[in-house]
Amino acid sequence: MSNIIFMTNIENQAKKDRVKPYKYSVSSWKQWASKNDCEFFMLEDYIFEPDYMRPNWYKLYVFELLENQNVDYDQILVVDGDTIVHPDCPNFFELSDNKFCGVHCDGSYDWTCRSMENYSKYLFDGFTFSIWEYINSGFLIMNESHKKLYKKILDFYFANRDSIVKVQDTFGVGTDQPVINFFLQKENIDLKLLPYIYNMQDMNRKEILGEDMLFTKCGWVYHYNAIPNNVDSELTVYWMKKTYEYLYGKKVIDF
Amino acid sequence: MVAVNHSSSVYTNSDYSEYAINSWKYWCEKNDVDFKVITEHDDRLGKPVWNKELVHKHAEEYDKIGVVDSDTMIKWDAPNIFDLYEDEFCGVNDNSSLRWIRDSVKVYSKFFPDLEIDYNTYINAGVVFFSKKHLDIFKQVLDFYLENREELDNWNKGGGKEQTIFNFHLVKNNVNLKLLNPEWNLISIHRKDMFSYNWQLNEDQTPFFIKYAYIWHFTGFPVEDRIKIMKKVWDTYRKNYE
Repeated sequence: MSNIIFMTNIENQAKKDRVKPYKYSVSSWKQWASKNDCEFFMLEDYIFEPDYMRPNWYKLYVFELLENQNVDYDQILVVDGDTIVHPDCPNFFELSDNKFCGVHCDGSYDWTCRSMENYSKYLFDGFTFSIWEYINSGFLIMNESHKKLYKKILDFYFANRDSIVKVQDTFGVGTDQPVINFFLQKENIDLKLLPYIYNMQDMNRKEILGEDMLFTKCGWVYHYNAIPNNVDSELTVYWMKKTYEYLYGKKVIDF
Repeated sequence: MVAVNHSSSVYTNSDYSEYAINSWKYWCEKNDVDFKVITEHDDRLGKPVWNKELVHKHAEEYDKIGVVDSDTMIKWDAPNIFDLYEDEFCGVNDNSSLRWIRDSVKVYSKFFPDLEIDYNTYINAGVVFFSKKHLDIFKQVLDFYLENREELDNWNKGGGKEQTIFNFHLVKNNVNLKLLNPEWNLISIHRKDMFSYNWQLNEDQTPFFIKYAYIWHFTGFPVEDRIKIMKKVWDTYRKNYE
């Protein structure tokens, strides 16, 4: 059985440019997977009408999608398409202790605290947990034992869809991420926090996103989120292309 | 805690340390912990920060010890940190500006050519908790300073004063490091956007740093702001310390 890298890469009809740089992500992860004896899977098609379920949630179908394709798996990394992995990144599956793993959401805590508090109030009856255990959902390692958890989250989504969409639209503090976090805590999932180097979010805030490419010397998985003044995701395109070519050259491997 | 008014400092330490001392004094009494404040400067030392290393003399009779900066305040109801570790060396990873840390490690590495610092375990030296066996590390740092005093007192390459040197000594001594959650030393509060409150629910205007951290470290911004902010925090929450 292999370890799996799973990514969703759905073209948003309204914002077609948004997924443009994701080819760099795919190519980097494909190469990393090949080097580390993993398999790479990508979902590119809509499962539902976007009004019914936004593609952000599709990552929760990872177990079903793999099983429908008769894929045997050991551990799975579900990773966002706005990330690039360094070719020399160590095999993080070996760090998991077979637990659910993520990286603490380390960026704007104004956003994270509001995310936790607002979802707590409107969707989780005041249930709360340590903000220091709130993880970013852009890099999650799991295994078959977490299948039930994901099923519960999906059931919760369909039972509370209208309320979830309302909270999403009213407050703008996350879609799947806060809900995954609440379920991890409510269900007492044995969570292992990995260091920042495996999901380097908000790199601008850490003062490492710059032309000297310092971020590539500080860690392994670069997450191009929370970039200031990122009009129409132009800076995401810029940095992902630049990083990819810096680390891998100009050749992009298609899926 | 070292809280020394010194001629080399532009601002008077006691302008802000009075609030730090108030909070720590309350918490220590509540938790049956001895609280020692060093207010006299050792004349062998250039900047007051090096007085911290004298903990190796001041705390010889204790099993567990904490060294905290005079720009920190502890929340009135923080649990007893000394119950949360055995004999590890405890600190909080400082990754607020990885660029600053990289630069700091680079400039000070000339003194430690054979050592490497892992950014994941680089700690902020302003709040550390440890056991008696680690006191010798502070003595080593002091000895290092005294051996290199002239160069360090005239240091103009940036990268801070004591913190990175201290981290190199932790690596050199191969300490068993226990990383604490940021709630035990909340640095760069402004950079984390934690001076704000939940303006969307607007039910509780308590700032996030008060709600979600036990030790607030008012660093990373100008000292005049530090004085104002620490005073405001004390004035707002002083009742909880009575």
